[in-house]
Amino acid sequence: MRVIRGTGETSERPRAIDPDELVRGLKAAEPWAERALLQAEAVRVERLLTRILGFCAELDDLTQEVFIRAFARIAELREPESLRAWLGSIAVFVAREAIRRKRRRRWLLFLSAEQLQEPPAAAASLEARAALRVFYEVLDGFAADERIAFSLRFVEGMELTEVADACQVSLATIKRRLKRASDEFYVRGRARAELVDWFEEGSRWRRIES
Amino acid sequence: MASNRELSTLGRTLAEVQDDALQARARPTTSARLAVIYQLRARRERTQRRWSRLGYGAGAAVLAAALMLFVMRPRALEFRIGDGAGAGLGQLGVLVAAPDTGGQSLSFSDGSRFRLHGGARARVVSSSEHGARVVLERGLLRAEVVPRAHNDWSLFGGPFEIHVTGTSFDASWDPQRQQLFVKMLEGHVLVSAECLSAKRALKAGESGTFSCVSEPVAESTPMPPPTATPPSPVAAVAAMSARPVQSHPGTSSVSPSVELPAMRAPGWRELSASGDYAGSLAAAEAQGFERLCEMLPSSELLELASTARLAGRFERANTGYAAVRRRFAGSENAASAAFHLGQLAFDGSHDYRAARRSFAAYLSECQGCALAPEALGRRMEAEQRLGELELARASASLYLERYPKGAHARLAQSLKEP
Repeated sequence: MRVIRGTGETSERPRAIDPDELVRGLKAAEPWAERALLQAEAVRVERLLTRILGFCAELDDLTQEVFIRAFARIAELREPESLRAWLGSIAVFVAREAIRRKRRRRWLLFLSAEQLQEPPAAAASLEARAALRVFYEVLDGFAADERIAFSLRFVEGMELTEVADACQVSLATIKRRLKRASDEFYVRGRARAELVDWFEEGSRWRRIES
Repeated sequence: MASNRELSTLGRTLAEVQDDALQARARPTTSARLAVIYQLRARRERTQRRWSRLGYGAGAAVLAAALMLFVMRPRALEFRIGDGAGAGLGQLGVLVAAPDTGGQSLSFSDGSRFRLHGGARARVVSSSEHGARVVLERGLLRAEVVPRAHNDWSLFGGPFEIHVTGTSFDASWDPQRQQLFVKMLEGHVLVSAECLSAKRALKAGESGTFSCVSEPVAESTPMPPPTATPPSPVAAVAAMSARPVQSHPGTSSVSPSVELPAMRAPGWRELSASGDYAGSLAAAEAQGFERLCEMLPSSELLELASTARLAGRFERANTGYAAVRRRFAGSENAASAAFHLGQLAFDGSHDYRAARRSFAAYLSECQGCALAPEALGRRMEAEQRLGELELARASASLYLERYPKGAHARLAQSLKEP
């Protein structure tokens, strides 16, 4: 199953560049190549970070961090055609660090998930927005690796192999993580009123089915 | 559990909400992002360089501290053999022999020095940061030990140990007569041996002659008149003494004097007594060495073999000692011959198996004899050099049990420790 999501593109359209040429330019630290990569991939990186973390006040900082690391480690990239997947794995890594940092900070500063700013999504229903907020509250209780696998698989809609590539682990490991995360989500999610309708026995599920 | 379909449906809905919000958010332009990225990158590079410098500085400081600790760590004293540019690093356990017509010096890294006179032989058997243990095999040496806190120096001559704290003295050991002579120049020393009832202290200006043999030396080993032949090392030291030789009343083991009466003796014995071992052996050869081996009494035959050993004629020495063991089997002299055969095998031919066998024979035949500590220590050394570590450890345990402060105690301790 491959679910294509909206992309949230900006008005700055990237020009089509041959991947080999782009990677050569990046390895030579050419400003035009760095700009081109940023133009082409910033929105996708933002989206991946948001899928994993939910709405996050640090989104711009984290996005920049992904590109800073990508520019610094571009020499490690062997195959130009895997540039996007490689960048995705860096985004996953940065997101994992953010999850762990957030846990430490929350423990230290006693900040709750609710205190993090949520951007407006005017078109979405109140129910959907509430479900989104509670969904990430539930995910806050997951182990970081299971949260990442779960959100990439079911929110971003990645194939299992893509999730495995992004997390840089085997397919079997991803399946185990997803199994644990799904079981946990079923238990925790059904306990939350905002999510219970989304399960098979809920009214929302029956509405979708009909 | 939740099905994938349920979760995908939920996820798709949530993603749409997220995408709407992302679309609506005020996003920085690419140029603004690049500017921030370049600024951050430059700042990180500066920080990295600073940390690298700090890291190098800290690393250098740690390295310097480690180097200082390494340099200042307690280290066993080293010693060099010889003087000036020709001096070579000495090795523990290796025999150092001064040529008959010259001297040889052992210079330790703390400034202490042992000067071997002509014909003297010695071995440094162990060293520590506080001192060393030196075995004087024969002849005369002058010891100059630099006074330091916790000094631990010992000079061994046969069964005797001269414990030194910081002083200057002359000492000679005559293996033929089993006689130790000590003449103090500065400071004081303590002389001990199993055959002495108590430790004997000697201070500056005093001298003493010590022997564990039951009979007075003068009676058993005649000496030529001082004017007729050059003085023996023992006599030479005695002659240097400014004061009369110290006597130790009440202990028959301490010889009161080294002024020995002159007696007529065969030529080889005179020469041997004067320290002219090569000349002595030549004289014995003139009389027929093999014949002497078959006719001399026990003590004289032992003396002849020792003369050959001290002259460096090891094959003749072997013949002589073997004759003692064959002709006077079971006697104390036969046991002494076994000890000397062990010495020859160890120092001469480096046949450590034969050395071990001979020292073991000495120990089995003469458990309480004066050279038992040395024999046990050297048996242990031979076992170590043969790689027979189990045997060496057993010998080490026995040694430490019997002679915890003996010349080989440090080696024994090191063998016992894994």
